[in-house]
Amino acid sequence: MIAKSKTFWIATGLFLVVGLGIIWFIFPPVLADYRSQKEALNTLNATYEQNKTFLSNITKLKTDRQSLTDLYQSSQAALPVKAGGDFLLLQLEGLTNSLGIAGATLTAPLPATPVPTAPAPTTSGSPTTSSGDTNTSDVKQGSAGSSTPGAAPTTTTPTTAASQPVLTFSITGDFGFDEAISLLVKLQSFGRWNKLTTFNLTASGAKTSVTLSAQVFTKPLPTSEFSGDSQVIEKAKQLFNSYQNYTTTPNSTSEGSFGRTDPFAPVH
Amino acid sequence: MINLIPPDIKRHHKRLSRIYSLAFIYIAIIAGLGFAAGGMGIYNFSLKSAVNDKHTQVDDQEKQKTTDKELVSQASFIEDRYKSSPTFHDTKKWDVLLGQIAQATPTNIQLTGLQLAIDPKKPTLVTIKGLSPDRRSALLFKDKLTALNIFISVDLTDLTQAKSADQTSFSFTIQAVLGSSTVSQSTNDSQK
Repeated sequence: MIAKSKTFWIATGLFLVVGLGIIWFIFPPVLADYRSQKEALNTLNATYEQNKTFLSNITKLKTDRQSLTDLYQSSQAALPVKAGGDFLLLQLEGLTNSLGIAGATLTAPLPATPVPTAPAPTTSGSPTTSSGDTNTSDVKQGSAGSSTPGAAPTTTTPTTAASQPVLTFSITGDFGFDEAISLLVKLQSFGRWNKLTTFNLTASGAKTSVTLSAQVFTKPLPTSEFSGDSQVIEKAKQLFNSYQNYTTTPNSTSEGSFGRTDPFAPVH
Repeated sequence: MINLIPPDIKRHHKRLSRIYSLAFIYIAIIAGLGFAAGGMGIYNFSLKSAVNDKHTQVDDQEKQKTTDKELVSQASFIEDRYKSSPTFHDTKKWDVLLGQIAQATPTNIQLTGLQLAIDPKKPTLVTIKGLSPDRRSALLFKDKLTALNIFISVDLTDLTQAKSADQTSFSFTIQAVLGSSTVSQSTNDSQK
């Protein structure tokens, strides 16, 4: 009988020791290594493909750099990082001018300049100035209802708080129902995204006056990276190209003339 | 033929041959296991070099991505703003609503006031004020507004007789609660 053989038992023991040793000590780390390498390769392959698509889309965008810059400017105008109440007033002025609403009064809050707190010398008898916490600028294109075409816009500046995420502007004027509808249509395609909050149209006799307020918004710079989806850019083009800006950003390097010997002397 | 080998030696030979066969099987299995482990080790090695190659390629791509930083940040800004559009842009067509109210106004009624109070958290309240030559026309106006099917409710909240020297008229106030998204829907309808 083979079971009675010592050699058989030694061979079987050796086999079991070596076999189990290989299975127990060599296979698991090799398999774990295989699994981790395979996983890493799959992840890298996916990243590679993603990056490849991303870079090819970037290359496409590079070829049409100007259009991307224009789109960037439009998107910045629609939802800027900073409130920009001053520029909003210019835009609204352009909008109302395009409608020929001469008597419209535009109101939009302007940010207050943050003054660093420094110890101020106390002057006895000096007049105390109380400041509020919002600046509101009213641009009156002539007085309401007055017929002074070409009158310079009057700007009054009450005071206030620094950056606000939401600005409320208003347009008030003596104009009719048709102009009011045109104004609402134009506000929908206005270059700065806005949401109407109140609309008030009152008529007394032949005179109609409209007061409209709407909100414009700000949003911080995005923290997420560009997804690389060229479809989004195409869709954004369709969206932003439908908006209209009624003015350009003031540029002191290319427009206006500067320098006066006596800045207090009246301008002729 | 006579077998001259003694039975003991014969049995011993048989046992030896069985042990050899078994040893051969054991060695084959061990060798198989060894080859498998070795093969996997070699495969892992090639896999590792493939991973390293891919790593280098991805690193190159990442470098390329950073070279166009300005363009990428502009694209990311555009994408962010595009996605923000529904939140920050008024999708309701208020001009269509005003047009519909005008269409529903009876020819003998003059409106004296129209107010929209828009709150994103509440339904929009539309207040319409006007002058009517009789009570019936004011009610007709209210019914016509109800029939537009864009308001949740339409109520005549005030109807006062206002006598002037030459004629009698009625001043009225109608308050209507606008259904959510009905204005944008009505735009689609009007576009059809």
